[in-house]
Amino acid sequence: MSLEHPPAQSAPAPAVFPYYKGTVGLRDALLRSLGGFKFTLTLFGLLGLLAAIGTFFPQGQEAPRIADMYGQGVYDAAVKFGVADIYRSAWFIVVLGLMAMNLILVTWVRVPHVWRISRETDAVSLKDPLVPKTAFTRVWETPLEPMEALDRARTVMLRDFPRLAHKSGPRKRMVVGERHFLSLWAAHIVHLGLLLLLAAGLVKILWGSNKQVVIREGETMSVPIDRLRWNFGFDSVQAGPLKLYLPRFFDRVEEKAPFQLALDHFEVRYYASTGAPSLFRSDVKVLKDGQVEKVASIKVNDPLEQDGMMLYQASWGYEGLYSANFNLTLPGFKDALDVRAPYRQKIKLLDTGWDCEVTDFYPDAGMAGPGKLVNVGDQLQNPAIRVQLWQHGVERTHTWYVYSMPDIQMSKFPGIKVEGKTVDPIAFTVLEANADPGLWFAILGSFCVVFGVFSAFYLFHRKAWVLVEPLAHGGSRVTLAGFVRRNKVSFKRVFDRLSTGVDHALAKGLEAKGA
Amino acid sequence: MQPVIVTAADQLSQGLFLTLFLLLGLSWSLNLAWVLSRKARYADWARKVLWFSLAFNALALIHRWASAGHAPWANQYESATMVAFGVVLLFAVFEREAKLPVLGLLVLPAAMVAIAAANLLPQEYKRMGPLMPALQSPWLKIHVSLMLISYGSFASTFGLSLLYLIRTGAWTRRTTWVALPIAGALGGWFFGYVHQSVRSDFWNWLMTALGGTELASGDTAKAYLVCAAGGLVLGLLGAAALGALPGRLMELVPEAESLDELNYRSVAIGFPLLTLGIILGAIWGHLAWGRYWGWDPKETWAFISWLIFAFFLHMRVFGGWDGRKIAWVGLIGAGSIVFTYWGVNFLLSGLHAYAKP
Repeated sequence: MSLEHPPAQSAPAPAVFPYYKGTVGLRDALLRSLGGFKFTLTLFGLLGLLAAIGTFFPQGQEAPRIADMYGQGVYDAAVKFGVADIYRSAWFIVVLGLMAMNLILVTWVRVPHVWRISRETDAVSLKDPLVPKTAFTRVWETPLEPMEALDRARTVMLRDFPRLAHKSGPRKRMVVGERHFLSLWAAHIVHLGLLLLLAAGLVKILWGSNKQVVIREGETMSVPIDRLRWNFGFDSVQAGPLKLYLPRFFDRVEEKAPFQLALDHFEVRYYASTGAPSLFRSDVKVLKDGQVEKVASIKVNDPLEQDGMMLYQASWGYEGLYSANFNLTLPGFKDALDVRAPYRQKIKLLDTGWDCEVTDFYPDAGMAGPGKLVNVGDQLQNPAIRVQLWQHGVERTHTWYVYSMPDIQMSKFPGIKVEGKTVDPIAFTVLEANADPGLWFAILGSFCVVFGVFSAFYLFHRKAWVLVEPLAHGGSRVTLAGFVRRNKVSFKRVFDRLSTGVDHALAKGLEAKGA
Repeated sequence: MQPVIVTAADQLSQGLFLTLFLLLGLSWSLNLAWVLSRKARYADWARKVLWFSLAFNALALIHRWASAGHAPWANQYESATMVAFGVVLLFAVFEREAKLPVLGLLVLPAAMVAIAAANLLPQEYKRMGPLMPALQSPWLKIHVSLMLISYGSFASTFGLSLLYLIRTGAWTRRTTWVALPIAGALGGWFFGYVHQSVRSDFWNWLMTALGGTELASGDTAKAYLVCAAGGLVLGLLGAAALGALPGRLMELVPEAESLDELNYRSVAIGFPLLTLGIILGAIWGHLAWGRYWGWDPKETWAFISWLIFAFFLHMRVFGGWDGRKIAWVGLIGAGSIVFTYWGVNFLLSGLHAYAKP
């Protein structure tokens, strides 16, 4: 019954960049160079190289460490050539800009080509069912009537192609199945996604804001936000002997967000087993016009969203004290006094004639030289208090007490001894206040990149159709054909399955007819 | 500093992963026996042991998850066990489809090295610890696991690229004698650097053996030199061992075209996973740090690896490069993945510094 069953043929490999063939003129020359494949690869290399360089040099605020790591000369050169802040340097942004342009131009020249391909595969017609790139074909001649043959083949086709298009002419009829049409566009969906991500970055740079707000427990602070203000003009820059005028398009002004934040409490918890931190939490109130609008907790991985801004737990520390508790021995007194002193408040020490005040507090004291105590951090690593003492209203002495070094008494005044017990420090929280109007571009771009990449690898555009035409002497000719651009090995299995299915279906039809 | 407490669960978990190392070593040895003897039963047994190792690896991860109370990829040791899982999983799938046990000779050592290197770290890097606040997120389960499995999948890319180069004669004996000792010396130096930075028992032993102290930079340099020399010797031994193989090896390796196709397919698995992992990491970064991309060294090197494999795909699909050049790009990409995983953790600093306790 089967007339021919040619082996699966491979479609001729498409020429590389057929869309450049025969192009001439300035426009095409530009497309060829800036939208060209070699340029894409050059940008890949350049972007990778610049990105890699940036990882070996501390960036931005950390850049001065370059001098410690590699020497002052390297640091100076790094600053001069923008390596100390490479990801914000003009030339890195230029490379990203060129990448964006390349993506746009590649899309510009390539989309019509893909469109043509998609139209080409759509052009399967009754007149010419075997489009030039048809890779798989099989033909049967059967005594079955065309309608019955088509019905039987259609049932087989439905197993692999849930939706079938029907075409019919005066004599011929066909069903066409197609799957994963979108995969033809996968690369361009990825490119679109990358463009959206670059656009997201641009929008963030121009209209976004990234500020920090530091709030101590009990304090209320305004939240700063950067706004872009268009401001066309020229700025003069002295470059050696030359005075250059560079165009200016905008500047930034710092404004206040339409709300304030009050920090009620900052909490750090630690794991008992390791002593490592387990929780950082800022309990805040959101205030508008002096009224509490919201009470919220901000934790790592759990930011607060307010008026289009996101507030993140970034850092924390201690600054100042609520009070300090220490034993104080005074000259001429046998017993030490148990003192609980509020910070920076002079208190009277019973009827001793002495007054004292805790005038300063270092959460992390260190020595900057002989006898020179300095604060080296804001974590409660090595607390120290400075106690000032007056006798009958006359300032007598002051002394530092370092809690980790109880034996060291720094007061030169005889008979004075401080023994620290506890400190009740005031915590502060550092919140990152971000506004990013480009976020939705980033989300959409990310979705496009992921969808495009997975489509490119795991969805294969495939098309198959069955054409039935009546034979002059009765019966019909059935043609099964298929088309795929990639992954022919996998499609061959599908086609063989279809082919065997049609074979059986037609044979069963004949049996039924015979019966 | 708090004393390091090693619980019974820690000991069991580490024992399980050591057993996994031995199982992988057994599978590798059986593959070697097959290469040397051509007796099919060795290949069958190698395959059986491989699948058993995969199941064992999964069980060891489940045990650790249950014991630690969180996804077991929160420190360097745990991540290494997950990378090993990725290596073995992808290789097992490939091997099942392509029947290419000889690939195991090149791919399985990646999993073994990952486990062995993690095991040599001090206890505070290996024990199960509670999660720091930044890692207390459901994204840990998704982002990190995807990244680590994608890293593992590129071990197959490494093996297939190397096999392709050997098969086509682009990787000659001379290349072996140059590349392996250099790689060994660099690896030895990096090994020393890691152990110096974590003050491991090995490092302390080495410094004592050399009669040096940490304070003298000359002594540290001497210890680095010893490590590099050790790596160099291992590289030379490896080159000698490989030199004895190629004649037999080539008869068991498929045609270059098939290797090229398999190489492409290994990237077709790893690249989408890497892409998804990076994007999900960006979402996590947005939720935890307030920015989805911050050019942190880990992010940057993941992006560089992504660029290299994007280059690989562009050149293969559109660029008309032959398999040899593509295979070299595959090797460079695999090297970039190794740096992203190990190098960044110890050589560079950044927000992703979770390897250290």
